[in-house]
Amino acid sequence: MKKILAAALALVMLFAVMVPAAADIVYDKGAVAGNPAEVQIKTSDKKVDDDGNEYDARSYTVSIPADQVIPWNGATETDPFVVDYDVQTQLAYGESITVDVAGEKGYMAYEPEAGVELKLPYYLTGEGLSYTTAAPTVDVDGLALEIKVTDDDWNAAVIGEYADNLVFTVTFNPAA
Amino acid sequence: MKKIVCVGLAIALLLALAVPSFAAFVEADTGLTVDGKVQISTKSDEAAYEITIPASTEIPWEEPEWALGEVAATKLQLAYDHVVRVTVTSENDFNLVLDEDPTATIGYALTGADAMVFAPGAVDTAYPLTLTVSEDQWAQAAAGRHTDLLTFTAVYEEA
Repeated sequence: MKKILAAALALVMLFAVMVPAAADIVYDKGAVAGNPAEVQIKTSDKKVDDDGNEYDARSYTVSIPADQVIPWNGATETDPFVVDYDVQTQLAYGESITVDVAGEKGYMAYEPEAGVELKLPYYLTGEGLSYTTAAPTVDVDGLALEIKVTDDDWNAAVIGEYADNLVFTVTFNPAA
Repeated sequence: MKKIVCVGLAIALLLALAVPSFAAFVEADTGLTVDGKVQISTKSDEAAYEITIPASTEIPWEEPEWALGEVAATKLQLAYDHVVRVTVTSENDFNLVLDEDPTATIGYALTGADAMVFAPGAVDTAYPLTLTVSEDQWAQAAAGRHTDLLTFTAVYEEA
């Protein structure tokens, strides 16, 4: 009798054992334990080259046009000669770039002989004359520069070949 | 003994804690500027010019001196070593001729037209012309309408 009772009690005990719920998920990378577990993923602000060297992920590109030939009498105040450029940036929050354009001499020059420089004045207008990006990441095409010569300057121009350089200066503006 | 083992295990547990690493923050290079250049040019080897001459005019009778207007340039796209030279000739050798009688004339002088040369780019150059008639010429003049024709010729040539 006692043996039967003991066996019965053992069976009851076995059935009463509560199997605990699955343990917390734990990863070995410092994740926040729990169920569900959390693993943080994040980007670095650095790029890595093929050699494993890190460098600043911020970048900008200002694509300027090739050298331009203006038709004679072809850049007037009412019908200017237009060139344009493109800007792409990928910068940090609050940062921007400014592109300023100016003529290197401010006039196109022709040297008919040594020591003689003749001038064909011009001036620049347009959105592209001074442009500051409005956001850290932009992709803007066709920022226009208008090249203008007055009629009086065209009419007084000695025939020949005149040239100047447009200088594009890009300045980085840090976050305030 | 048990307490020693417990303390030892606790210390081991503390030492096994992983200290997370922090990334270094790199200041932006605020001196970052870049320059690029684009050449613009224009060219011509074909001269072009525009010369204006006085309009036809009517001279008041017995007027000793009369301004005819000026010979001027509104465009002078010339080669560096060239000029535009303007000359003037008279159909009647600088005589106003009576319409009804070609032998009746009033002689006059044209001043300002001797050396009308326009240099490259000198669009502000102008040559005022003046007609003068002496008292003697007016005194002998037959009544009636007298006319002459002035012809202006512009030549593009080396300076």
